[in-house]
Amino acid sequence: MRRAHGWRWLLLAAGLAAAGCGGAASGKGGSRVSAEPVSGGTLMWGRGSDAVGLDPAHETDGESYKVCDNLYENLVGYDQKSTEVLPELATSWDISSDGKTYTFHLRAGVRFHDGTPFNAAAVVFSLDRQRNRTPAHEFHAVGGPYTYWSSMSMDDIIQDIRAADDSTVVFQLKRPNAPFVANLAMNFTAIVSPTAVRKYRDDYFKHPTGTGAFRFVEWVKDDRIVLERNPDYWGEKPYLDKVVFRAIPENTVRLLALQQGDIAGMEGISPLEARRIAKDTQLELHRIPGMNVAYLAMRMDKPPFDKLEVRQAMNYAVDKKSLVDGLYMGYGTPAVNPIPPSMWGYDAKIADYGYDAAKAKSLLAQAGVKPGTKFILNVMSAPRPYMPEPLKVAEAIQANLHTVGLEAEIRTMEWGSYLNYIQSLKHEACIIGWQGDNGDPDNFLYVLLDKESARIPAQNYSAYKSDELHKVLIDAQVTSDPGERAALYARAQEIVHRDAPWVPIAHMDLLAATRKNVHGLVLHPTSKLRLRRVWIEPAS
Amino acid sequence: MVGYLGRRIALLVPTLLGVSVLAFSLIHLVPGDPAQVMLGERANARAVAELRHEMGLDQPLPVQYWRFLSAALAGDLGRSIKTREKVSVEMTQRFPATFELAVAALLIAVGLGVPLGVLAARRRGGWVDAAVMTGSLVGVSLPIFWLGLLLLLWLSVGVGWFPLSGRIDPGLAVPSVTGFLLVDTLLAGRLDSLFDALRHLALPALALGTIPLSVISRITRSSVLEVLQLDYVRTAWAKGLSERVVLAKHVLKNALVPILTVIGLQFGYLLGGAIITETIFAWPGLGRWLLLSVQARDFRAVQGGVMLVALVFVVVNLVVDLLYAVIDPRIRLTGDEA
Repeated sequence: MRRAHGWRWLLLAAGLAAAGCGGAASGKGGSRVSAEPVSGGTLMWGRGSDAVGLDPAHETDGESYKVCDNLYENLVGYDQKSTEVLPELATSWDISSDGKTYTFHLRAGVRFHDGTPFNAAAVVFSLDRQRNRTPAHEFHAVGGPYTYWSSMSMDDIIQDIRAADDSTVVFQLKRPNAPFVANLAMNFTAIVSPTAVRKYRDDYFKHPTGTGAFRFVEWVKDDRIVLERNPDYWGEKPYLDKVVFRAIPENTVRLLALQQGDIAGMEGISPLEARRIAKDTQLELHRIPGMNVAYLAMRMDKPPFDKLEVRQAMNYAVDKKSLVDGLYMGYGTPAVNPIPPSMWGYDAKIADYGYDAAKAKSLLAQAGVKPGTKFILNVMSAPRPYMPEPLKVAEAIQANLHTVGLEAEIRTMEWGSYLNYIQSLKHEACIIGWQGDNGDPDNFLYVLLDKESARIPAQNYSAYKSDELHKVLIDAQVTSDPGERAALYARAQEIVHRDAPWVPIAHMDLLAATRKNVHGLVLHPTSKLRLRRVWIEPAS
Repeated sequence: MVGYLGRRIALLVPTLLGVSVLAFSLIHLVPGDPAQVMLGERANARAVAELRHEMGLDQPLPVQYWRFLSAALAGDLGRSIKTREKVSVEMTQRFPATFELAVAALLIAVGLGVPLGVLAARRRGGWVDAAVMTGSLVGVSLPIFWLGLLLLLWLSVGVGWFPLSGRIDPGLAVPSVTGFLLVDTLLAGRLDSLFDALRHLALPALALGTIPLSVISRITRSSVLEVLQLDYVRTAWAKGLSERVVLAKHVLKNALVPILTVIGLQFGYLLGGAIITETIFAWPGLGRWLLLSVQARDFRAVQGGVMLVALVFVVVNLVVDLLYAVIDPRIRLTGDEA
């Protein structure tokens, strides 16, 4: 009890102290925006933890990717704001009429940071080393397993990758797969310098060499990673001289550092901190809809959730709006469908079940579920990018369900054990979520709801096995026409809405904060952090 | 003496072996599969299987232990499963930070704790005694995360004397030669960097030093009190020696053995890394690394880290035991007695 008070007092003190500093500084600085971007300066970027490694093919964590985003490039890249796929290291690509052959034409005159020319051989090297095939690529066993390649099922998609000539790469697919091009914009398919990988082998992860706008300078573990402007960059050169990624694990201290000006930007912001940042005149809160979903999965093969009425009742019983207003503090959107509204293919025609306790009660009665029926609701203990306070969310849902006569017993576990438990499908109901990878609806709907994803270790935590949905999702994979695909995904969302394997809860916003003199930062739905267009307004 | 030393060093082998078994079994007993933890929400069957194979987790436990032990005996602790860096490299990158912080915290604790303890004993029952004892009670009970944040708010944000986090301002960084920043800045001949590193060191050392400071002042007080009542001290007073001579030469020297024991133990703890202090002050040391390794179920890192901490602890204890003989000639360190 005492402890809690101590914390609150401290937070208040921190807020006051910070407000004091901010106020004093704003008298001089103000927030004028000079029209023209200015070159020069070092951007100090604070985050909660250090990168794990800097070989994009081996990494699985966001903090590593955010550094890689500035060091490496891919054949294709995302639009600045959306997940539309645009040319990057490839200037164009052709798709054969059967949808199985992709031919990429490469940009000329590009060099890696170590001077190695970028060419078709480098593309084949970067991707071929990740494939599971016999005989294995000479670098397949170097630096550990390529887990992201496997988790995106790339071996099921790709038959062969070859260099037709120095500036042309041809991908032969096993079956038409429309989301494939979007995968080529993801971090794990970034193009690395074959010379550098050959030179450093197992230690390449700390000698990253790409073609990106910034190049690597140094890495002091758990403290900082320093990048500098790549003077030979093929595109528009970055404004910043240097970028320093600093690991400051304690949230309060990180925000203090931003308010003090020790760092100029930061991530890892809780809704509570976001509120304080929004009020601080020296700081700017950056906010976009996140490409994620938090949901409650019900086991469709276990009572009481094997009855459709019960799952529908659950959907009527949960008051999402209050939940998002209260626990996400408004930094999120109540979820209707599995995919977020910002994603293409989202079906806005589907109306949410809506909060209706009376209807929930009558559906439960209809299903023959007695008031007071118990079940175990599993929830993770640690915050995730799609849910700031899982335990409190579970408690709010528990209270909602209690009013309609369902008794949820909350059970929580440490993250590692939790994943193991639910992926082994040992639960009845669980709260979990997903952060999208490549901006394609397939990456949500197929991964989380297809019957093939219900095999242990499962990602389909409802054990939802619908042949109807499976057919639609596979059709959407093999069709390359965007309009047809969007129609198929609308159909998929209708099926999911009808069968109600989940209670979709919320899509959480993506948040970052900078000092007012930092300009040009545009957050991306995939959480990519691209600093090439960022510039710092010098103090006048 | 040499025999004693030899025997103590020989004892290191079974100690470390025991620690290795313990570390290995504990990290493998903790629920949660490292492959699954690493892949998170996107673990699918093939990715998990590949990762487990790569980590050797598809082998029986005794085989895994034997592989670990035989490699460790050859000086190879393997690569961290999370970062793929050699565990030995991970440790040598972080140990200097922990060592500098531990030594600074200990200097504060001993430098203040021993004089305060002596003073409290000498003024027993007076207000000084009461103040020191109350202060040390508060010092032991204060949660470090609270104290650390308070120090930051007051001395860093408020007064602006000290920086908020890290070991050095990135703009003043010097090339790493030894990893010990205080040494490296001197080697580089950069006094401005040295000064900056010291300013970064001050607050975490102060926060980390409070508990040892309190413990040391309390043990000093009680140990000195005990000696003060002995007959030879009365004789020293009777000879008309000054208070300084009586306390420093006659009392403290004889009271030092238990104090030294406590200092040794405290130093051992400090060298194991200070998770909370390192987290608050963004100090890149061993403690936070070990914590993150445990959370990631990075068993290779945990095994290596625990072995290192155990080794450091044992060595510090050995040094303390040897020091007994230096300060108290009555203690003879012979092979037979040990």
